[in-house]
Amino acid sequence: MTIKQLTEQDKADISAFLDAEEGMSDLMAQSDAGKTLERYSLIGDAMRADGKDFIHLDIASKVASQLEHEPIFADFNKSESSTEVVKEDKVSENVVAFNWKKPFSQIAIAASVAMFAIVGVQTVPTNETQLMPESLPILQTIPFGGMATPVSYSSEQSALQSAASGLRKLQQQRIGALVLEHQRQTRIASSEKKQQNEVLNNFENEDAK
Amino acid sequence: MRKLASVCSLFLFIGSIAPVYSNTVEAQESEIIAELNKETRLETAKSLLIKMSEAVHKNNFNASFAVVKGNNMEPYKWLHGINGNDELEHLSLLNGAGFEVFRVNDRVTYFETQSAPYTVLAKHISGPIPDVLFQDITLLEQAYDFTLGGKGRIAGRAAQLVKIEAKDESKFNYWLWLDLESTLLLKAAYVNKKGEALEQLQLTHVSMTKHIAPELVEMSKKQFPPVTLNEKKISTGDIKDAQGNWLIGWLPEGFKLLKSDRHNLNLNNELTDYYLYGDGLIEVSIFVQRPLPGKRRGGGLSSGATSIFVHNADGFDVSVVGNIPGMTAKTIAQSVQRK
Repeated sequence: MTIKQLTEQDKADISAFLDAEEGMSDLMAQSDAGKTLERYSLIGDAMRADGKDFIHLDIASKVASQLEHEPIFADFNKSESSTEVVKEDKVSENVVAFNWKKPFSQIAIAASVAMFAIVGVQTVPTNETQLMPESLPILQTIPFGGMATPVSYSSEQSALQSAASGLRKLQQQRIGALVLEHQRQTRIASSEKKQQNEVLNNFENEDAK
Repeated sequence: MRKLASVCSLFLFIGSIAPVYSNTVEAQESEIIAELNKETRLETAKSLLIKMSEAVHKNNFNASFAVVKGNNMEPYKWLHGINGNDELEHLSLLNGAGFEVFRVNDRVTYFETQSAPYTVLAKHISGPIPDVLFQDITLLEQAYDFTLGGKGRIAGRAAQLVKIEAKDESKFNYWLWLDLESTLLLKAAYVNKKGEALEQLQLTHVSMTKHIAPELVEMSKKQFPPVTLNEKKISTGDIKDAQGNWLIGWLPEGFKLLKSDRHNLNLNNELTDYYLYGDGLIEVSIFVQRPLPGKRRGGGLSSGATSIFVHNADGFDVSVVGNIPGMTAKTIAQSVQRK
């Protein structure tokens, strides 16, 4: 059936079909043009990603069945079957678990923090007179953990070695300790500020009375 | 003739409609103007900052952010929620050995690897975000100006830039990008006078939730160490005692003495005369210590916005630590003299 051969009835059928008023008539479905139409509309649907109902390429179920036959390397079922409460208990154990880190030698960690502070410092001037009046000596950016946490230092190894001649180890330790002390004191100060404010507020309240 | 009549009636018809039409236009215009007024009223930098400080206390939210210092990046998780009358907060560093802070109302507990956990009385977590942003922002007006910057898109949300600009060049500026909708903090940066960001904090994700995160409630039931570090209440007497030893010749405008004493460093037990100054936004520590043995070198270091300057004076070492430009740290350190 070529286009020229379309009768008025065919045209009416096509119109009704495209308006979704009617299903495909047998005649249309059987004809070559009908099959072409079917293919094109399928392609169109696929590209528009609608009509999930009648494209039955069931990838999901195939993948699922494939997965079922995969060997299991880790059993996640256990944790999943446990309740929320149990999970949270585990989280809370982590909080408590900080305590086991305490036995770490404080000095050792201070040293590791300080090593960070030293990375990249290669040109500390030997005395103050060498300092340029308008520029600060040295000062490359040094990735020491701002929260004083030793980050992975393996990658810094070469830089560390080249910087080893920079500052004396003792001074490194001292700088690390000072940075941590600054953080600690800042935190404590924020609470003291609060106390002061409360004292002031109390005074104000009393005055108001 | 009939045609003319119909044209006339058409005019009449239009005439009767026109006033109605212009009324609606006026109504719309006044609405728009009201909207604009509302916008401009919202848009003073200070009121935005105040709104932000309120927003972080009132909402249940779950956020992630990263602090970028040079080529170093620290990811954090930040949870906040209201559980009945309790305000709960948890900040957690996700890289390395970690760093955890829990807050239940005014008790803030810090867990760090290098020292035993400790609790202080404070309304805010003292972490990568300056804590003044969560309280009375007007404290900053003495030393800083608040100005508005442009709008942009941060973390997938419409954001307004608010600049906290230092009144002189001895300090960094602090820029904040706030969510236009919730006024939550989306991004912040320490910016030098050239406009270069030295240390940036960027939220990667934030979700406001109707209910508090269950892990926060769970956490609040735990036993935290008691408040131990505040047994010594600050008194003016203490400050004078330690002030007797050294004269700090110069500090940037707006810095006030917060604390001064002689104590041993928490980590290596070295004795130090200690001064803590603050201008509301940032704090500067000044340490005066016995010099280290051998020939030593002074100098500075920096990481992000934090500068450290060690000055070797005659017979004592001065170290200055804080979120200030290196030159400022150097000038402060060199201004310290024996009384």
